[in-house]
Amino acid sequence: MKYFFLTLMISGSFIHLVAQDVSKKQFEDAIRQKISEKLSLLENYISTIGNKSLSPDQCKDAINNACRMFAGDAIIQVSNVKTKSIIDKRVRDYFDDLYRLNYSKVEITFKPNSVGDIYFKEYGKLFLNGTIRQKFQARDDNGKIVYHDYTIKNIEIEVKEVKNRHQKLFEIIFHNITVIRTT
Amino acid sequence: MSDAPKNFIELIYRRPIFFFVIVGTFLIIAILKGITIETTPITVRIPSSDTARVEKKSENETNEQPNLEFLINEVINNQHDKNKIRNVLNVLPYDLQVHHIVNGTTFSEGSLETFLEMLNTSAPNYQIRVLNADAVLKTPNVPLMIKH
Repeated sequence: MKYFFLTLMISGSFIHLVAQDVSKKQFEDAIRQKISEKLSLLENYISTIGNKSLSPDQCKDAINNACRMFAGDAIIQVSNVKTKSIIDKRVRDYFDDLYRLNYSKVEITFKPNSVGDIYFKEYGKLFLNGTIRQKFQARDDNGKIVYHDYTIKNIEIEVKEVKNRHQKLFEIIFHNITVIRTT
Repeated sequence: MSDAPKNFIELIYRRPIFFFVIVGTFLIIAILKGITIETTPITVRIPSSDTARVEKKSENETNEQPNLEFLINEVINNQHDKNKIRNVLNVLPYDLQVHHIVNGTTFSEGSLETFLEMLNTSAPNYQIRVLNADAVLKTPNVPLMIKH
């Protein structure tokens, strides 16, 4: 009989470890999928804000929605391929300046984004790094390209556990966006 | 006493039943684990008092209620069409909380208005399922549970 319980205990421990691995992978997959969706949404907002053919209301809605995705103290870096400068801006300032760019036509497109591995920055706080690949083109009244660049940016993303009586809830919050390379 | 198995492998060799016990236990726990992951978000979010109401409604009043699932999927299918967002907000409060279940993990999406704007501009490649339409339509402050 004691062998039976011994066997049961050993197999139980093994099964518990396997089950934990499976649910951890499912959890990570869910987070990656949600972050990728949120990054695509952010890219869409950036394209909308820069688009000169859209109404001011549409652009302002996009600015408000984009700002809601970020932590209050987040900054976004802006680079310029001509001056080689990199400037830090507060999130709302960045989007407002993007909206007010003094070009006749602005096109901002993105290559597929990617999401890195999960890490713990502070106790109990999950973080990931995402990569955004942005192509920027500005044209004058004659349709001539007056400025263009291709920028690879890193975005710090927090997966915050929200306290709830009934279940575990998670919220995706964007933090700083930093420039990796501009060409 | 001399007949007692000396180690675990010998035990398995002499009593094959233990092998089946290990495999059987593994399968049962794995199946139970799988079921728990899938059902937890659904069962937890619908209060028992609403469950009874949902059952009653499905018999008699299904056709009288707006089809939330259809209305929200219309928001996805008609990108940048603000009228589709308005159609949903005519039925539900703009500040209703939305919870989105992805792979068994529940994400808090903020207010319904923001969430619909997100769906309406980000062109997601899926259709959503509403898990607690009756409870949301009948009870204030019940978050909208959606899944895709």
